[in-house]
Amino acid sequence: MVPASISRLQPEAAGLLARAQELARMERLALCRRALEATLFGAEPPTTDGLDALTLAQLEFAEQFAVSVGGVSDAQVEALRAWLTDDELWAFVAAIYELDMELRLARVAEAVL
Amino acid sequence: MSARISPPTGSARYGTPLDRAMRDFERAVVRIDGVDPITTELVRLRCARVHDCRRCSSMRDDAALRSGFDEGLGAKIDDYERSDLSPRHKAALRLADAMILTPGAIEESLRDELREHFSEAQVAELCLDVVKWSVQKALVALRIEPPPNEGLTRMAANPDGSFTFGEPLVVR
Repeated sequence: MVPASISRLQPEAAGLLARAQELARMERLALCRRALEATLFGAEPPTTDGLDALTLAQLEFAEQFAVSVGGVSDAQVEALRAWLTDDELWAFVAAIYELDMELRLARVAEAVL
Repeated sequence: MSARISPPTGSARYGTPLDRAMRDFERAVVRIDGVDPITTELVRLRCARVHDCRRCSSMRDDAALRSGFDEGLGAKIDDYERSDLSPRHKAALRLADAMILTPGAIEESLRDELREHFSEAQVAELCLDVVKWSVQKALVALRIEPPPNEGLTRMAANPDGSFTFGEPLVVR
């Protein structure tokens, strides 16, 4: 969700960002969202008990994505590629970007606007 | 470092609905011109360096160059807190860092500091600039960002918010 303050002040770009965020919503990303919130804001991380290998790889990637994309390793990407086609991998990474920036924008807009 | 999947070829990356939506968003952000080009360029380059996007780091915005941006100014970005950049530019870079580095630990003073130098609409614009200039995170994560040119290259925004990439820059 785009912060109301951003939508009020920059309505065109905010509307287009909201559309992109809506397209990025994926059911599997609920846990990734919690992993990002834990990494970015110190929230409680999701429990990993009983999670399948793909979900674990997604969580690890999401955490690294939030900390430093320059530090994403070949192994972290290969762990995803074991389960995802290139198209699926790109869709996942693009959605993580949307989620990552959605969380950051919400927190910063609340603090400065 | 080699690409981890086949690099995209179109203006909307792989052409998915999300890619096209992001292209539309990015162009809308570029069309917003409430903040001066030099401040916008400093924020763009800060994002490029933090996100390790070599292509973005090798570009220089034409409007910023025409407004007086030079490499002396650009060299101050990495250690801007200890630089002699203006308080306005430092405030913009602190906002960028709050977004991309420390969203969980934003200084309470940042709001007032920003409002000394920017209107609310300009602060919102800078926030959206950071979202736009962080889109390379997805590309860098898979190492599918376009390769950097040798040296620096000029880029110019078109009226629709797309960019035209021009000639190499000679740094004086």
